[in-house]
Amino acid sequence: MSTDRRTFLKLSAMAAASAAAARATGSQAAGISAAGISEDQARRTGDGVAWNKAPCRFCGTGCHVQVGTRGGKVVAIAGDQQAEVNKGLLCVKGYHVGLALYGEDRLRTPMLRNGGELVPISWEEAIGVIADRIELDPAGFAIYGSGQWTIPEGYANLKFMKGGLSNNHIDPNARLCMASAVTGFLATYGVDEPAGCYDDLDAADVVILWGNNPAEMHPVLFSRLIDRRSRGEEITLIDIGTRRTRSTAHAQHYLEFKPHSDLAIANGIAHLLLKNGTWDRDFVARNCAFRRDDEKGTLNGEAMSFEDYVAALESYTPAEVERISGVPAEKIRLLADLFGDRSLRITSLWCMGANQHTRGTAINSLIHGVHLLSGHFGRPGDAPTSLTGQPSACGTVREVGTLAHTLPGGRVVTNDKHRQYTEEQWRLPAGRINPKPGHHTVAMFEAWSKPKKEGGDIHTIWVQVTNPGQTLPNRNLLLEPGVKDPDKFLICSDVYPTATTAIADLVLPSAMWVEKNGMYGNSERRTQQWFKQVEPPGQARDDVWQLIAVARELYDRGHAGMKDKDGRFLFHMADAQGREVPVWRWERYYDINVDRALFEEYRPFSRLKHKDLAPYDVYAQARGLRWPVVEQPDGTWRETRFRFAAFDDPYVAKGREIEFYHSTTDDGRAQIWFRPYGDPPEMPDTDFPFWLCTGRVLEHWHSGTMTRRIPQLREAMPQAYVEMNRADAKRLGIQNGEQVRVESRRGAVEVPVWLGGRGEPPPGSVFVPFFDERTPINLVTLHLFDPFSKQPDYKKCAVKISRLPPSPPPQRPTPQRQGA
Amino acid sequence: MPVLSAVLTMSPDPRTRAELLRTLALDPRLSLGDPVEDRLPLVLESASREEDRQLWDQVAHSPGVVHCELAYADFSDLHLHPIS
Repeated sequence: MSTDRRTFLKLSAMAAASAAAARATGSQAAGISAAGISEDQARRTGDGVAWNKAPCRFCGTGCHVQVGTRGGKVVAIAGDQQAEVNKGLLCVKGYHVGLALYGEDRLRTPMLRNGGELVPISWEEAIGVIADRIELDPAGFAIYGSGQWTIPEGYANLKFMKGGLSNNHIDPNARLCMASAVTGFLATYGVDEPAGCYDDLDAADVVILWGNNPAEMHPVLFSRLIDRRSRGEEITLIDIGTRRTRSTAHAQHYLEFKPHSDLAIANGIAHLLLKNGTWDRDFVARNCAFRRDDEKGTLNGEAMSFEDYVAALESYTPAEVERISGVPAEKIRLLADLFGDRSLRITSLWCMGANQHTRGTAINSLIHGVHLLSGHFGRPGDAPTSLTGQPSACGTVREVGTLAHTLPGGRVVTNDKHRQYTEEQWRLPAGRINPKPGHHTVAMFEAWSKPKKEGGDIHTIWVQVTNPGQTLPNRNLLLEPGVKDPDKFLICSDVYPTATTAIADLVLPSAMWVEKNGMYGNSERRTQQWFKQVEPPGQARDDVWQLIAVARELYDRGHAGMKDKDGRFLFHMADAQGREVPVWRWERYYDINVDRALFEEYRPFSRLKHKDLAPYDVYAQARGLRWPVVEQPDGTWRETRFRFAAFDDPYVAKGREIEFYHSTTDDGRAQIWFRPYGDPPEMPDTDFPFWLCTGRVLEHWHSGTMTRRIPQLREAMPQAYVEMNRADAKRLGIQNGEQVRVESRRGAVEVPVWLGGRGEPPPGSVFVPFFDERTPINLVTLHLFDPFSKQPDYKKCAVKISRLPPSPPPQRPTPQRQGA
Repeated sequence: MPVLSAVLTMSPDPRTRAELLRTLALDPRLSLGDPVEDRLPLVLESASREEDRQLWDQVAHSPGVVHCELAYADFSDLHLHPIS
């Protein structure tokens, strides 16, 4: 490397860090470009690196990066100084995001399984194979997608399935990660997604983590709290969890609860608010009603009186909650006292701990209920906010609506008017959309893994942008029988070989991240956009192109569903002069911006639920905007930070401070639910005496298919492990690093024990991360799910730990402290 | 020759902070920027990716570092897999 170039790099790096430091402290950083490099510096050195914005590819935080490209490759990454989310800073995964493109084993050509081996074929053959499988029985074809689908990808798939095939068997992996958050929001407010945003973290006096570890999972968000503390601000951080984590280390109060008993804790807070008379009478009288489950088990339940609500909570005394949860009664009183103090601002955060729960809808609605009952809602810093794990679980799955029962913009297939509107928008003949919901994720794979003669009505699943071979629970039930059944067929579009491509019959190489145009929607309702910046490798192609090519193949074969009511192609696209562009031909795909066309078609759907989106070109200029984004008289577009609050939300009726304008009771009120504690479906016993919790680690994202190909991250966390309590290990004679067997009634894996590692589970509990495909812990997990959200519980099942016969010493994970 | 930059959040204690700055300044692989309140921008240069990771870990664990985040990373020197 030349001295000039090295000097330039150092200047660039220092400029980026200085600007980020200034931004984070609210100081000025004049003369710094988006990448943190001054224009003068760039001109002087003639570095030749082009910089463009993109959201990070990994988690749901939605940090923006500046991507440096040169010679057709991504060569540098900088935190985006203009991004409100991350203010120029990145976590260790974001810093490596550019390297995720360059693993040596990127998929480069379509492959079809023949005689047990995957054999290269042409794209034309691959598209033909998919069309053949659909024509075999269109009703038995399914698509399994992702919260990593871009917004246009999700929209195109939804339109293809529900508008083209009249088939609702489309569901995303987000069913496994945030479906209970959705049902919690719907049951409480009548509309999905948080009212607050990340700004709440800058204003809260108290932050409560409900089974959440943002120090590792959302480190850039967590750093906002650390920053405030380091500036001398007082923030009370309370960690309500089932094991000590890195977040615990920063908390003043750690409330360790027995798995599943978070419901009792929430009920205990509500009990004390009522007993102490510290609930917010005015707020509740104006804005809330009370609700409980009905006999039919509907999401909206039935109304209950305030008196019945009080009576239902009567038994949740601090002593009783301590008995159920193990949390000392004085800690329950502490929580109730904090919620009972209206001078404080309280933000609750949660993610998988509350969502991956067989009572996920219940605990989600109870957290909302505690905030509503205490009036801690609608002011900056007063917010119940669920976080998402994927970059577009909100933007694509929840807003576009890629679930088995949904249509775009919060509509559902069971609603006549919603189907009618969607058919009109898509120019379809009336009655094209099937009113019966399709299979949710667990049911979809059950139907695929069951022989047709036994009712297994799914013959083919097309998996896109996700890895169910590693992430489905109880794989031996949901996948293995289908893999062995010759009548079943699995298609997988991905960027690397995975546990899913290993069992797929057809593998399609996809473009990823800045190898294509894209749009995401993050955890705080922020819609983000980026442009393609480098070419994908080999024959890898955009996922949207793959779908449109299949649709066109069916159109050419005469499939009626691929035509609109005027006989035009379902994905008809035209240039500025109105001439049709054959985007199904790869060489013509980028003649127009297909993302822009799809997004503009989707945008009108967003208004029904007041989730208004701005035009595509507005997002191209922004670092994301939080919906509803409403056009102003001067032609600018204004985002909304705090929903339902008159001071910021333009849709709140005049004269009201708060209005829940999608109330399930049509009266502007949110619902405060009573939901009792009950034991989980599987608990430790004599045969399987430990609780198992699964989750993620800082260095690896989800199933590790991208981050395990980045040497720095792989070295920092080389393999999965089982965290045990030292007392349990001592009792069983297990040494640190010793290989053990973790076994449930469903399956087993062998992993090394890590004592005193990242986390510290209490006696009787163990933790195993799921990023390592060599030790797939989801052979062990439970597939039972929440009755409303259909989301499985990955956080608790019963296992036993067994020592193995002596063998050579295994490689032990190297503990690293990487940021946050 | 990896180059990356970070922003350290330093301890509010003046003595701890001063000792941290003194220690970091002794390492020739580190270039310290001007602190902005409790934030210290710095550049880390190393001879290899392995050293880069070790150096980062060492800095992040230094007494007086409350928090550590990345701001910039260049990997143009790495052998990236060919595009076609």
